[in-house]
Amino acid sequence: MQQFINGLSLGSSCALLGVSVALVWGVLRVLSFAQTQLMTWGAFGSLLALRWDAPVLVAVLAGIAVAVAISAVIDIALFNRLRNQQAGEFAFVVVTIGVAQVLSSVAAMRTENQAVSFPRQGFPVEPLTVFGQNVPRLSVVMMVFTLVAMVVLGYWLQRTRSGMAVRAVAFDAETAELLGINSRRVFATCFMVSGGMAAVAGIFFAASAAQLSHTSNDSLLLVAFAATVIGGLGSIPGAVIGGLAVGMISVYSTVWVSPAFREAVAMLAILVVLVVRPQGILGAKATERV
Amino acid sequence: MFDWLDPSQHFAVDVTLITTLMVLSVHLVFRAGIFSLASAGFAAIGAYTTAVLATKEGWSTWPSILAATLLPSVLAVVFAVPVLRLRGIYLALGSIALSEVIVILIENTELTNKTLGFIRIPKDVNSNHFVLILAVVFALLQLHARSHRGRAVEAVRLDERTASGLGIDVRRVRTAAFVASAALAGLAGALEAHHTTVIGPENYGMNLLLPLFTYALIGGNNHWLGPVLTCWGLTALRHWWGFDDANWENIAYGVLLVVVVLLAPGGLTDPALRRRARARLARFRGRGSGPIPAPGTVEAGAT
Amino acid sequence: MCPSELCSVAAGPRAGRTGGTTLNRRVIAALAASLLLVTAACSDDDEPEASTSTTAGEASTDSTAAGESTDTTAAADPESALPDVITIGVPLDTSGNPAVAPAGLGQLAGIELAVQEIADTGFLGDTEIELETVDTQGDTQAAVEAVLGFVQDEVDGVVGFALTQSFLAAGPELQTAGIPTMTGGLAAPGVTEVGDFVFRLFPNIGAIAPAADVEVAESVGATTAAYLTQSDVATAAGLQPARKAALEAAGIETVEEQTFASTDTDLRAQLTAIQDSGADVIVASIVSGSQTLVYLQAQELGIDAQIIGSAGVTGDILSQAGDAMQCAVYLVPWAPQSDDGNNAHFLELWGESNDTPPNVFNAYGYGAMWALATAFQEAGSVDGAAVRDALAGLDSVETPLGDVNFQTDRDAGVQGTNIQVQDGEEVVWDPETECTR
Repeated sequence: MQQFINGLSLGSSCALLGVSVALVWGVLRVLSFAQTQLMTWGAFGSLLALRWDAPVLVAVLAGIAVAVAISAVIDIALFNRLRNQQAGEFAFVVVTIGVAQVLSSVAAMRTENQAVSFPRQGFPVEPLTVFGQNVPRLSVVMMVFTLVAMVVLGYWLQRTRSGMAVRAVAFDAETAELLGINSRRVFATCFMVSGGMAAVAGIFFAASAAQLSHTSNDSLLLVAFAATVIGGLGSIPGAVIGGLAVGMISVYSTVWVSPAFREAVAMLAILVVLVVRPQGILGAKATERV
Repeated sequence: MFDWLDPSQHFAVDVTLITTLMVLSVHLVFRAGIFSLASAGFAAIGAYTTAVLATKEGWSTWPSILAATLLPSVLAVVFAVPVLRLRGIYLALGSIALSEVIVILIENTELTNKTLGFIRIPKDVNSNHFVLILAVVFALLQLHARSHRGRAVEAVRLDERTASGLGIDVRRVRTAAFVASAALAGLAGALEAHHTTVIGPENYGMNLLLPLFTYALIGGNNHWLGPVLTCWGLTALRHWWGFDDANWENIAYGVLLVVVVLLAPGGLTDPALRRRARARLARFRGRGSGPIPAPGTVEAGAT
Repeated sequence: MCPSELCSVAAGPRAGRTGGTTLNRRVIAALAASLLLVTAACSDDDEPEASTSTTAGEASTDSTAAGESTDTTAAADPESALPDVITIGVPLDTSGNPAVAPAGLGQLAGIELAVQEIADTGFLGDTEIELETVDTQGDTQAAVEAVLGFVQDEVDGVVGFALTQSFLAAGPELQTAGIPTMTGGLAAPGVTEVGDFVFRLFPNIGAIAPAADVEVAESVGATTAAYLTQSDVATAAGLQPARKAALEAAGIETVEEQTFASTDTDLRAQLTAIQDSGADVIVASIVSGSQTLVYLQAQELGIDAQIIGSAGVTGDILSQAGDAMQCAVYLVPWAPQSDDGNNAHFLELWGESNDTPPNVFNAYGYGAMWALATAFQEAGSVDGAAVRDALAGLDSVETPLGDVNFQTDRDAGVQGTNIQVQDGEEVVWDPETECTR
């Protein structure tokens, strides 16, 4: 039972990250390799705020602001140019890889290649005991945040005008433009929102590990991709399910198979899903127009 | 062959020669329109095959290098079946997952010394071997590129459906590219194992691929010489400039990658690039509007 | 003519370094020193500031911490054929992998401190030590390239290396070139087997930790043990089998074994499995990067079994982990609290130019550099073979890790100290003292 809770706990972090990736993929059609660096920079942003004795909530907002700003720059300065050239999807991916590299190196230089400690005071870290099972409070908060984010996103996308615009652009950007929707603004907004979510995930991870370095989150990139692939690339609720699935798979393969093969299991899951059911659990079957 | 160089320069040249093989491995798949990142995993298989055979089984060096080239090729044929069914970004993800699984398996198997890697691999390879191997590979690549098979590969990259409609066996072309790429990666991995005498699973992560990516993208997919020259040029530049801080070097690579993708998505050997450059130059010189290709026709991001 | 400091014959003992020699050596030393004094003072007028040259030189041969050297040929001859500048290659990983960078940076700081002190005290007479530092970026090939550069530049010695893999690739080149190499921070086995020019100051933890583990486990009356291992780091992964073997030999049953990778941020699955096994002690073979994580998450799960950890705990880790580390015990090769060797002197010297206390890597760098310098002095030349013999033959040299020698397979016989965390502080572990969680 405890392991089940552990799985949910791990899964909730993966889920938030997965939603971030799914949003970018769903709307911008970009598989962003830069999300984990946005996580890291968001965490560094809030670390700075915490060092200046800011209250936790302010620090979290500061971190989000940093990530949102970087996302905005990436989208406006880089992605827009690629859109003007009608570049293929790989151009975007490669750009995110390059940006991630730059972000990582700059962070490395500022921290002298070392890990720095991340203060936990003020974060909800005391353990909860529910029916005799140990439940990490931080993960509960993260799970709640993810669910709330999902609900808010869902509401935004389905019930508001701007959300409809986003869906229109996600469906077909050209047609949406013809209908008078400012697709540029939509893209920028979505990327910034996803950056903000990545920042929150990053802050939670940093608080959980009490430590942060420029490579702390690198291994999560593939986890995020796994979450979105399993849940269906582009589907937000799918990403949440995918994230939870990844968390569960990780924990249970540690217990049942062997801790050594735990990472392999997640990767194998990606491969299996991609080959057997590429659209994942909740994704729509991708159709290409010839 | 390069004994007239300083030992440390000589070493760097040897490393570059081996890296060239890896660059070609990446180029081969990109050229067929397969955005596969599995070369790192195949290089690992090659390196470990030769390490195990040479140190644990007592094979002599060259047969073990041969085996190290064959095993990844065979595995690639097997992996090609599921992996090549995917396209685009799904393929990229699948190939990354494949590469990571290979490394994780290596880290957890007794045969490969788990995380400890191998040491004291016999150092029986030298520059002469590398140059010879490269010469042969270049020759083969050039012959292939000039032949109808080479054109078939181009066709598959540019437009799979049309190629298929023209009677090209797309699946065979892609599988062949994938297998050849794996063979080169395995060979490179094996040579490096014998050259550095020490290997470990941490050498085969995704970091291995970033510089290779950069060379392949800047060099373009049109001709194998592009990525090769880019690799040599940038490596030489790196050594002569001598970045003090490894981080600055990485930043430079990242920026270069972004700039090239923005300005020259087809790489520097892209014919469309020359056209655009000429057109822009013509306008600049006031010769009126030269032939500026319409946006949709630029061979954009065709990796 | 003669600047006054150079000509004064006042022999005063240098602070902190003591030791005696036989009368014979004293006499020869005095004679040779005066000879040196005359030649040196009258040939070099623009002496570098730091050198109080042969006076200190005389004092140093008297009070050398090398004590009695059994090496008869080169060592007894302080008529140094030491050149004006001794070049030392320093290959260290100061960038790249954040788990290793602190080790590289720390060693470098220690080495630089030692070089400064050697210059200030004139331990090597007029000879200056010049460091050729290369950042090997945590990359094996960069390490080999750096070493090839050293060989090309004909350095007189090498001090450094923070990664065993890098050393094993590059070390053979140093051996072939006959360059005496003192490695400070490599913990895995197989280092000195590279050749007779390779020495190591760091203990083979796999050899000393297990006995310490048994001591601790028995003191809490444990009968079962669980193991948590960071499986992708050679030192940790290589350590665990030895610890398990020792504990099992002492009759402590293994009830659970779990592993994790350096990139993991959530160890709750593994820790829960360990908790469920009900083990009396948990043996954690981990490195710095994961220490905080392990202790904090263990505390979150409410684990209260005795944890026997691993070295690599820094002040940062202590403050972050807080009371999660209460009562944890681990073996450290070097402890600030220890009085072994010249640790007190080292701490004092470090404190003069640094605000934060030194860490184990600083101690290594400092000790390794001094050990090599002592060998140069003993050998009286920079001839590789002579220095190697001098180093191998040293009876004992003072380092912050204790008085060590390299007579057993060129590995310093450092025993280490058991440390326990009590109320956020590291104290020397005492089996008699109860610790409450």
